[in-house]
Amino acid sequence: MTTHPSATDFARQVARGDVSARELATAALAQIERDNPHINAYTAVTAERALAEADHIDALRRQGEVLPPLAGVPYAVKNLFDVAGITTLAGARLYAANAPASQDATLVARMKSAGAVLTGALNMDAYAYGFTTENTHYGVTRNPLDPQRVAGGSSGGCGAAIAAGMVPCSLGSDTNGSIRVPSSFCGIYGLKPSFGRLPRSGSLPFVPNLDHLGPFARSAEDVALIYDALQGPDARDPACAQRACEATLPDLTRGIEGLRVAVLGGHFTRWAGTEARAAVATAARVLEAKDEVELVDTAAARAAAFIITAAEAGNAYLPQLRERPEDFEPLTRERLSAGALLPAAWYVQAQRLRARYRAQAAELFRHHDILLAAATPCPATRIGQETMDINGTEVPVRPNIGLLTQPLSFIGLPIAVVPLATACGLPIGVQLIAPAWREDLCLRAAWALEQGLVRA
Amino acid sequence: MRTLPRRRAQVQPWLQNASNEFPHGRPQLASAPQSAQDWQIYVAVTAAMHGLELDPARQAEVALQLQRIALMAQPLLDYPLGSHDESAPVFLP
Repeated sequence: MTTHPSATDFARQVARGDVSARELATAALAQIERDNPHINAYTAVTAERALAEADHIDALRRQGEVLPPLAGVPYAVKNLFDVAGITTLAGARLYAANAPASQDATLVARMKSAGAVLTGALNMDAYAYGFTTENTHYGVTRNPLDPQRVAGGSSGGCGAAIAAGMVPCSLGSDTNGSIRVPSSFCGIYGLKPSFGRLPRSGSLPFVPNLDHLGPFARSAEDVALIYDALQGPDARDPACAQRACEATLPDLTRGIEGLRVAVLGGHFTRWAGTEARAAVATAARVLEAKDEVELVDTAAARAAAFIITAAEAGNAYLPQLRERPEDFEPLTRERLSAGALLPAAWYVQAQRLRARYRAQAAELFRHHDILLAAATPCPATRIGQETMDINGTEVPVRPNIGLLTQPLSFIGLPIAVVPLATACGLPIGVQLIAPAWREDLCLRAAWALEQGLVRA
Repeated sequence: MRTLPRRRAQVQPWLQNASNEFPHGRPQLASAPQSAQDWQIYVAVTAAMHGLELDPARQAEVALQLQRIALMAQPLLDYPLGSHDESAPVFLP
């Protein structure tokens, strides 16, 4: 969707010596300085660190060392990742006076090991509780494709920084759709891996039973490259599955060879607007999807994700809700308070449904390898928009942008998002959903869809 | 340990005759939709139990949020789970 160079392009240019890592870092920092005041993607810029990391890569090259896979690639992270030397905000004024992090989050450390160059921390919905990145204390992040519209959330800065051309990739989190929604709204690629795949150590939890971390980038190849660099066990995250790296890049270009692709109907069609349905139809044509299948009980699954989110987040913030209510994001405070008061029976019911719904999805994957659904009901909404019309039903925007993402992260399936153009001129994302632990399949399908769209 | 605020609302509505406190009858918190008034009473009781002080405006807003969550939760609460439907824990000792 964009003409900016990809992470793969940058890494190759650095490896060939066409450009130095310092030149790339300097250019990225200059663009951030120029464009960020309009877009508000960054809450902190780590210029000194970026230049030091770039110089390290350039020194390695001068010494004739083999460069790591992301050598010299500028990136940024959602501000819930610990970055040594800056305060981890999680979009919240509550944390503004905290001491700076003493060390990097695991995934930030892995990006550094892979040669990437950190340019800063990115804006988000407070606590990651939102889909629009309309943050009262740190400002709204604008969509670079139309600054009157939101970038999506809660990882809004991650999407906007890439769409604006500031960096080719970023890291964010996805509890109910927070990687997939900004990917859809900003027209970029994203991957929400299987629950438990990537360690979350050193990132601020939102809903520990649902939190995932993952990459954003400008192509399926970039996403695979970054994702492979991030994989590996880490005992410090109790939910991490501790699996060894299962590289996806080597088989990426196999595309949909041998894959059985189907479209998800039912809830996923009912809550997809005109542009969303058209995008899924295009993806189905390119990926030769012949069947439409239904994941039953999706309304209950979505409700369960909502309850788990409200209860866990509400409980986590209860001490601060008691002591410092005035420091909370006003758009979220009473939702968190309500979550803290939910009946325990509801939460337990939600957790029990999780296993059953997971079994239903597993049954579908006996006959299909990839399922397709829109990532959002519609393209990016306007800043401040309160309601939206989905197929004749008027619903509030903020809780419903995740209608199509929330049931799927509830059961931790790996999902890649590919952006497609729409008739209204804005992009919309399509989710490519694979069985648990098969990120390789959804990335192969994403690559095939990308190639098909380029040819079309 | 934090001491819970002493308020009449902390325990009374649950222990006294429910029909006096809940105009629509005792709420069935696992399934039935609640009225706005029921939720206001629920918030008054549970906020006090959790040591969460809410002024009347915030209390009304929290009640509204709970009412919305309850509406959204209905398909889950109505779902006929069986006695063998266990949760999917991630805790590993």
